[in-house]
Amino acid sequence: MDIQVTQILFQIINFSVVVGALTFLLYKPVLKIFDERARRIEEGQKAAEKAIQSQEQLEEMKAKAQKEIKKEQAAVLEKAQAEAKQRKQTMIAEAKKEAQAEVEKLRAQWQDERAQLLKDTKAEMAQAVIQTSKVVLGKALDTKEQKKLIDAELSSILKQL
Amino acid sequence: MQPIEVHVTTAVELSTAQRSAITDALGKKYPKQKISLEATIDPEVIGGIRIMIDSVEYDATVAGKLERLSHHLQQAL
Repeated sequence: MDIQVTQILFQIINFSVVVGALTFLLYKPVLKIFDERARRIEEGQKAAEKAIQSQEQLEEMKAKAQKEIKKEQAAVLEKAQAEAKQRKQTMIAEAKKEAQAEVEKLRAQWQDERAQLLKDTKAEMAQAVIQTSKVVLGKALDTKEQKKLIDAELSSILKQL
Repeated sequence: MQPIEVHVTTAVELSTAQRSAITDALGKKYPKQKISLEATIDPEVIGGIRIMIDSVEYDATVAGKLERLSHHLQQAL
């Protein structure tokens, strides 16, 4: 078997050209496609992780907001109940005060009316006594008695002069 | 000088002695002035005598005393 060096060299050059062409035309684009795919998968994973993280944060914020709302609702309810209680107590106290004032007013009015009635009755009674006395004395004093009375009173008045 | 005006009110007519007693007493008190006495009979006074010397009144009538008693009673009751 003859070894043809030229043939071998030709085959080597030929193989090198094929390898070079394949490397340039096939291997690098395929490698580039794989890299691109790997990058996109990695980005997708990152995006998914980020989305999951965002979702968790949203859930956490939602839970926190609901907790705050419940807390505020409880505080508002408690405040409203306290105000209602205070208002109720104030209204009851005012009603009691007004009722007491009305009772006192009526009592004072009744006492005034009673006192006035008593005073009027006594005045009428005194007037009746005086009128009766006038009539009785007018009839009882004759001329002689009148003269004696005038003398006595005149003497008293003249002493004052 | 103006005379002293004296108004006397009684239930019956004043006697001469009573008039004299009044004018004598006032004459002693006001020797330089003339006394003008005017007597009125008013049965409403019931008894006693009321003398008005100028603007000063001395009320010793039964009616006056009863009025004062009435006033006191109304104040006391």
